[in-house]
Amino acid sequence: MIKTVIINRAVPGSGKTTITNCIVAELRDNDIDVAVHSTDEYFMVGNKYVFDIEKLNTYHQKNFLEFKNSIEKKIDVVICDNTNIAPWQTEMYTQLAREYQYQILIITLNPRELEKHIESQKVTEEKPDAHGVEEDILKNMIHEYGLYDDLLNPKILLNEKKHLHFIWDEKINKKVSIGLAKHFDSDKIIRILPDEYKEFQETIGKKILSLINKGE
Amino acid sequence: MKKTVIINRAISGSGKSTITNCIVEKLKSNNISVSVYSTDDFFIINGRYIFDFDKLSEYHKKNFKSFKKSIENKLDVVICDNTNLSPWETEAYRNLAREYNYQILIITLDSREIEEHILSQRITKENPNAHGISEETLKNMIRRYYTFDDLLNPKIMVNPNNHVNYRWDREKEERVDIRVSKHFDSDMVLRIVSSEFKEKQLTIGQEVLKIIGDNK
Repeated sequence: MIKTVIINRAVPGSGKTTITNCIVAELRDNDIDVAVHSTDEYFMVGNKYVFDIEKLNTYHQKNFLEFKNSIEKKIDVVICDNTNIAPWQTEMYTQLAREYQYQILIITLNPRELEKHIESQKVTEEKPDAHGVEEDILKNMIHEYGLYDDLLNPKILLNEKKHLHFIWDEKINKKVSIGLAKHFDSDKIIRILPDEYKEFQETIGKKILSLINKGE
Repeated sequence: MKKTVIINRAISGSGKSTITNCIVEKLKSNNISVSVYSTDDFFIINGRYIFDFDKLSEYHKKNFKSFKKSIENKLDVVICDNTNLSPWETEAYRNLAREYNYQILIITLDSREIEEHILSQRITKENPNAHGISEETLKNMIRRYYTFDDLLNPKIMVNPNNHVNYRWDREKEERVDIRVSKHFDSDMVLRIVSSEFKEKQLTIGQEVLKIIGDNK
């Protein structure tokens, strides 16, 4: 078996969590240990999601420490369930994976229509735990998803006008550009299109299983 | 200097020829030998583009033979200026490039809005050598451009539902699936999105020059 880090990449409301649950269920059925780490989990208060930008950096660090813990414990499959839209957001996780000789699989879920993402984020009686991410932020995330998508391909030439590298500035709680972006680091990439989403719920578990067992 | 094969990839009306002309001009003015091969050129009779499906396969072979001659003559840069939407269309060119130790650069031009492609294909007094490709064919080409786009990335897992080579059976008038597609083979991929097209005309020559590694 090949120890594997899975990096999810998706705009909120793409079905990241559903796909992750399918994978976790299939792996556990096969007695493979798996841990999921999501920065968003820290914003849950009871069953409600309460976002606080002041806490974002702290929670990202906490999430990373937990992720690191799982890797050091040599858990078979460790999943980073953040949005991971741009390469710089995944860098800490992929570096650690390399250090511990985990293979890296990126699962990238293409956005749906903007309206559907907005709908999915609305907090209602039926889904009190929705994240309530605002329209402008969703729009921007969809834009950035497309912008950085090319960097999943290690052969693509960087475009210095578009592909920027950022760091998080704790003092102002904003990202600050510090030059040219890098490519995403991965061994394999699975792309899920919106119209394949239902079908993938049935098949993704088996696919992951075969990737872990044979490396192919 | 690295001997280089450039493989253009674009649907008709994306500005492939314009970009190619910019590259050729820049290379020639730097005394780099370059030749361009386009199957389409064989359909031009007295300055008019006259497509004949029965000749397509013959002309593809002719085009490949001429391309091969340039490689055997060790020209510095050899450009394959077909639409090259899916990996199998590039395979013969790619094999030859590898055999003769040429590096491979794919230049992929994203499609514009369908209306603009339709307009570019209309034969008018000002535009007498337009190719007159029908709307349906253009739509089909745009679909194929995006279906196979992911295969520019060697890390992406081939999706056997989408990524299929097929041929058209002309007697039965139906699609015959041949096999699951491979990836494109390249050393570098340069993407031009339609909003960058004007700007790229000014910079592409210099960029290609840099990739060839000739800065004299």
